[in-house]
Amino acid sequence: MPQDERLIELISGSLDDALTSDEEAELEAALAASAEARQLAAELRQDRQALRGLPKLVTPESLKQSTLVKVRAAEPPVSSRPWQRVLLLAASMALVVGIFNTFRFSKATATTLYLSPGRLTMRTDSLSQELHLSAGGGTSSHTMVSENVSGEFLRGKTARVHLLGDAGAVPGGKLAVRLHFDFDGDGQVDLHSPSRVIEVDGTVGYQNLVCAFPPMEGMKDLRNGTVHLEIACETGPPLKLRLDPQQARVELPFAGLKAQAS
Amino acid sequence: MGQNSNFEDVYEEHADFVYSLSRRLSRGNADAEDLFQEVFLRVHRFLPKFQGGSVRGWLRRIVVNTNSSLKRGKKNQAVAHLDEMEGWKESIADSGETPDEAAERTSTREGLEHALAHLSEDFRTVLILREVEDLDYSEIAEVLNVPVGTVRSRLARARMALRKELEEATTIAAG
Repeated sequence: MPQDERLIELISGSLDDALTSDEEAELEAALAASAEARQLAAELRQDRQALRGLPKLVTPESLKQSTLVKVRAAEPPVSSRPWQRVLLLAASMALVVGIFNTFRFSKATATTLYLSPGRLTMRTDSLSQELHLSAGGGTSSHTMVSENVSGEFLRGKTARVHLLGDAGAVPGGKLAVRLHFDFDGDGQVDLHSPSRVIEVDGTVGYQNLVCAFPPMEGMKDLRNGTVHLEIACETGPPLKLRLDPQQARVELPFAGLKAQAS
Repeated sequence: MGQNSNFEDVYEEHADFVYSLSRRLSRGNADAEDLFQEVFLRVHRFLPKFQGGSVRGWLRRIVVNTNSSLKRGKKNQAVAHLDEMEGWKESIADSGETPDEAAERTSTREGLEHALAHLSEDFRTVLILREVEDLDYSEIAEVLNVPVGTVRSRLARARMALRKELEEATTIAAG
């Protein structure tokens, strides 16, 4: 980490009382040695006080009213839909058929989602695109989401992410990859995978990067749920990721993955 | 508050919280109002499935997630101008300041709001969660679904980005 970045992170951490004793000593020494560093620390503290002084806001009455009108005109809440029982029955029948088919056919059904900017998709016909991530400014992370996706959890199987990355000729790049699951699509993430780090060496050109996740406790069937894939450039040089539909993909431990149009 | 939560109660009790957070995370009035409405549409839809716990924490995650979803749909949107921020004065809760104090604070605050509006979504969000919402690193990591180390480094970069914006605004004003 360049000296400036290190100093900034130390000053920032000190504002949050988040430094270790070694880091505190390092910061004290840096502040004692540099008037510029002391000035920066004072300015960041002042900015922080200004942010903390931002006033509470009151919702304009017109917005409150118009929102209520929209909410009342919207579809009823999920649990009180009159046709929910019919859907539940249909879903149960589909589940029975699905389980029957799982046993009937030994061949695995779809378990893969493909990467595109902002989205995980079942489609493989999109054009290859590039993402640029940088730990030192600009976009440091990118999240791809697939909504309304269903699939039956396959016990004993694990998730695996395949990426195509290029960090130029600079070694030392580290990518952190995480998956997040909202199994029932209620808007709350039910399970976060551990963060897996992929090291990117200084090989020129795109290289295959693979990370395998360990078995995760709490995995369940996806029922119109949401899967998030988060890729963050933790350290090292700026990195290009090519979203090639044939090679950049997420293999998930779910059989019969199916995305429903939202 | 759990499965029997009543939407109207949640709306009455937390509308200002959602509005404040929506305004801080958005770049202008129109975006904030879209976000506020979309959040409460989702709250209305999913409240019966809310399993209990902190309503405010649940709402905060919905605001942050919805903001990201809306932003994905409005990529490359131009930064709001100050005139789009009209309405701040009407919507700010009464703080009991004198008119002079209020004028000075408004000027400082508008500069700060303007600088925040120029930050990337990632930077603005992490700053607001830390400094306005007063969440600690692990709470921010949970809301954003990122590692704690990412929160720490992102906050440092966000603070510097804000400093740069404020310095540029000062230079322009002085020049």
